[in-house]
Amino acid sequence: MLYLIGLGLSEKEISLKAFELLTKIDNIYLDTYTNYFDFDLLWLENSLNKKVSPLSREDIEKNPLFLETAKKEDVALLVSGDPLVATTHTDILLRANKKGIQTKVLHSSSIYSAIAETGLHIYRFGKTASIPYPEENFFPRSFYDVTIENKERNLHTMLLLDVKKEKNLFMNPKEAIDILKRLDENNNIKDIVVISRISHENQRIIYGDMEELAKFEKEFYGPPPHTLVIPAELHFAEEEYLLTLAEIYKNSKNK
Amino acid sequence: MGRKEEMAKRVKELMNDPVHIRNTGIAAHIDHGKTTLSDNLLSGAGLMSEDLAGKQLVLDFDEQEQARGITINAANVSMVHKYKGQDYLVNLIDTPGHVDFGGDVTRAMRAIDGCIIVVCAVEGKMPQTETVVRQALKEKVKPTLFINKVDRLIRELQLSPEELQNRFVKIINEVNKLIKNAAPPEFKDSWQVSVTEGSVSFGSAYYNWAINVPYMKKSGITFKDIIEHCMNDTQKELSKKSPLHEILLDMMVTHLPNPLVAQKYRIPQIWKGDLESTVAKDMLECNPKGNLGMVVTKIVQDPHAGEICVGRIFSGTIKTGQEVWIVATKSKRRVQQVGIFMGADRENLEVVPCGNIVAVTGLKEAIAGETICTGDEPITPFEAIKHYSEPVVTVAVEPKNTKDLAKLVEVLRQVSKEDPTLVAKINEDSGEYLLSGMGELHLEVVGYRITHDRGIDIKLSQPIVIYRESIDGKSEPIEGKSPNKHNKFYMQVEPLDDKIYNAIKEGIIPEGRIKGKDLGPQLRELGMSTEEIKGIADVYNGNIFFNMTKGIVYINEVIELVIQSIHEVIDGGPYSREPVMKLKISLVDCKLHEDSIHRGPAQVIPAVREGLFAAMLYARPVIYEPIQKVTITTPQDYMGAVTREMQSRRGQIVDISQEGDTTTVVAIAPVSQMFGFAGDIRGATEGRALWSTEYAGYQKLPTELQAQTVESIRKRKGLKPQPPKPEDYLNM
Ligand SMILES: Nc1nc2c(ncn2[C@@H]2O[C@H](COP(=O)(O)OP(=O)(O)OP(=O)(O)O)[C@@H](O)[C@H]2O)c(=O)[nH]1
Ligand SMILES: C[S@@+](CC[C@H](N)C(=O)[O-])C[C@H]1O[C@@H](n2cnc3c(N)ncnc32)[C@H](O)[C@@H]1O
Ligand SMILES: [Mg+2]
Repeated sequence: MLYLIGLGLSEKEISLKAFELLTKIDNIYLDTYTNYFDFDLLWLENSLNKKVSPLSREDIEKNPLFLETAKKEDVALLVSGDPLVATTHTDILLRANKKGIQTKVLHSSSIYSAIAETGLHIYRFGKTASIPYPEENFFPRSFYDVTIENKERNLHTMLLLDVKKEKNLFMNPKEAIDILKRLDENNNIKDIVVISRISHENQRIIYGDMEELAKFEKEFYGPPPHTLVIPAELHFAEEEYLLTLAEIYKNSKNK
Repeated sequence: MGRKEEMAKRVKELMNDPVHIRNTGIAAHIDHGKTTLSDNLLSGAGLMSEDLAGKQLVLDFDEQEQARGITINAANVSMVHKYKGQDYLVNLIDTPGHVDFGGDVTRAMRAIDGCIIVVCAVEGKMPQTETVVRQALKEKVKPTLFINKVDRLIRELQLSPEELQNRFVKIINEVNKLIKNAAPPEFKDSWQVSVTEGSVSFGSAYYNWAINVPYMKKSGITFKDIIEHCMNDTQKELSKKSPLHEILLDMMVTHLPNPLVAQKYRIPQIWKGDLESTVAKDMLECNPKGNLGMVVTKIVQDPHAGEICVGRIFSGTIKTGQEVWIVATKSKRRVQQVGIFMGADRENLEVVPCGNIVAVTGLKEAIAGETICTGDEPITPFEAIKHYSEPVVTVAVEPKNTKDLAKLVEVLRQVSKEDPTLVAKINEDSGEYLLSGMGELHLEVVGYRITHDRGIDIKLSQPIVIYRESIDGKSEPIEGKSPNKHNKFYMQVEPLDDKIYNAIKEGIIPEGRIKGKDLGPQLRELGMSTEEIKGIADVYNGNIFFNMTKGIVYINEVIELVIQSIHEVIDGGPYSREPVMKLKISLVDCKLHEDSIHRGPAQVIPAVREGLFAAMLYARPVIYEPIQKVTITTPQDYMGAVTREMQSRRGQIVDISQEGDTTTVVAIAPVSQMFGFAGDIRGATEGRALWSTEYAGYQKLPTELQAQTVESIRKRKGLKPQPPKPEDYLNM
């Protein structure tokens, strides 16, 4: 049996159900590459008194030995946030199924729901997109086009930022804003909401003009993970919430 | 003032007077007498002692050249010639004739506007004659003809005046046919060489005389006189009456264009930037006041000055201390010295204006073919100087002393920068340093120089040939999946049609990201469908990639990665990891993940690679081997020995022709079998056979040798000896 288990957004957000299950499982693995972890898993290892084995992208996509184990024994694969949100892990379930392995998903908190803490209404989000680091022969812009399409339909856009575990690169809002500005030749983007380390002790929600936010250095935003929202026109309730509870960096505060 | 200093002074004056400049070269088949001729021109101009000229081959100043009796490096000289009371500056490049050093000829052609094609009267038109004529015309370099070694024709073959003339007519007609075939349309007729107009001369470079119709008219000398001089051993007298340098330099001055004339039609051929721009106008008009526009055509190592870049200036003036752009690296460098060559010597000057061939130091990063310019921004680079053949032979290079390893790496980088027909690389699997070049001799000479000129004691492995892999069959569309299994690419492969493959090799279809619509008519003529013409996306090393997908959202975000992955596959295929040729790749469909983060390089590149590997392995992979055309001239008595020698090397005799007692055998043979041929044929014919080889491309390896060859290539590379199966790349 293979259990795909969400760890949630920060330490101890794993569900009690999942935790109890883990006490009975000996093969516990961790997906290390779909998100940045600032919390280590010592607490989990200590309270279970078991080892958690980290797996790289290669170990999961190319040489999934854990699937072989799952043919005979119970295996748990831990994933940051909710295991199936903004990952391609449905494929793991598919492959397991083809090998005759039973599977079960245990969900948890996710950036997809936590984003609601910005006060922006979940009903008003359009397509989500990620901003990748540009690489040789790869400088996509579809995330920008998605943003503009959403905007035209008066919908918010959630922009997830690149995680390149192999190179230890985690995109900072500063880098993301610079990339957006280069593409935004006609100044279609005015405001941005930055959500940093949501659900952690030092979480921040920042609301400001792109121009203002671009002035800050990386250090200002602090360690990852971060998410950007390019908001549509704000509903009055959204606006009131943001103006009251977010850090504001806008040129005319009473706008 | 000595004659030489005086000459240097005149050269300096004439440099500024483009109407009276000729940038020229001498090109021919091996041993037809180019260097003997160049030497005698120099001596005629007073730059070399008369006794040494032609005997010592002063222009073959390199130790290896002297030892082997052949030219290896093109040599540059400048001299002054008086014609009808007017001084002319003649910049001359003597080029090598051996195929292995043909890259030097290709590069020299970029620097010059006109040339003398030398043909040996005894041997006649030979394979390299054809090649050098083509190399010249490709760069819009105007040819004239010198029929050399006429003394031998007269003394050895004892031809009558009439037979002599028939022989000449035959050579001239053959050369004119070559010109007609290869010249750009506007010059097919006007560049025909003509006896009556005096663009053909005859003579003996060795005995230092020559003749042509204008000089015959002027001096009253006839062919009969010439025959007499030769037969009576009074050629020295003839060389006073009809001196080689005068006849040939007159011919160059009257028949070859000056830079003002030549640059008007050469620039659009060799520079594809905006012809309305200021630089373009400056280059078209050869304006010394414009910004600098120069091409480096050669890099020479000098024990004192270090690295010297030799090149042609098309616009502006180069000065010591000036800052210039090295265009390829977009970096700026300061010019240290500028000068010109006089024989083996370099004469330093302060400035050299456009229309000249110049030697420059201080241009650190520049490689042969580099564009050098001034101005606010680097200009469009000159067209790449592309040599017609590819490296087919490789040796592993190893320092005898391991502490020299770092130095060796640097030197290998350096030699391939000086001679871009050499390719240095590291075999990632075995850690060996590999040097690939045009032939056995090429690599032997480079190896010798690394040891002797650069002081690194090295060992060269036995030469091995570079094979190619391709396919015999056609695959179905094969699915390549990304590691995350959320992207799929459907690729189909089949062999490229011969006609299309040849069109790429001949440059009719250019390499790179081409647009079908720009080449529509040519491609249609080659049998491509409208769909394919629309889909053509990239041409790489004799392979074509067609993007046949339609309406795939986000295809633009992945197509460059697809091409990158295809290039990687072409650089080393699945069968033997040798470069791939003659492959037609079609991307027929693909399915992409919605979010770009899940279809980046780490996903797309392996997906395309594995799909393509599997597709190729389904389509009956085959090995191709490099082949040479070998031309051997031998006395009749040794015919048997020559035929045996070729047959034991899997040679295929394609032509045998006879003239008097000499037989000429033309054969096609695999390069791999030709190693060591020089010694063996000398032994078999007691040194009486003359032979030369020519690049002849790639040919399918005989079926019975396929399996064992793949195995031995794979073993040598440290791969598992058995080639993989398609299933190995289809992860379900
Ligand atoms: N009899 C005779 N021999 C000549 C003549 N010209 C050159 N030779 C001889 O032909 C041989 C080759 O001459 P080179 O001048 O080295 O020929 P090349 O074309 O420069 O040769 P590569 O640079 O190696 O291609 C030498 O032995 C010369 O002495 C000539 O007019 N008459
Ligand atoms: C590939 S997604 C994985 C999402 C995860 N499976 C989930 O359900 O939350 C990773 C991206 O989500 C965003 N993200 C994840 N956790 C976050 C957090 N605590 N605060 C802000 N953004 C977060 C970041 O943009 C990060 O780069
Ligand atoms: Mg020579």
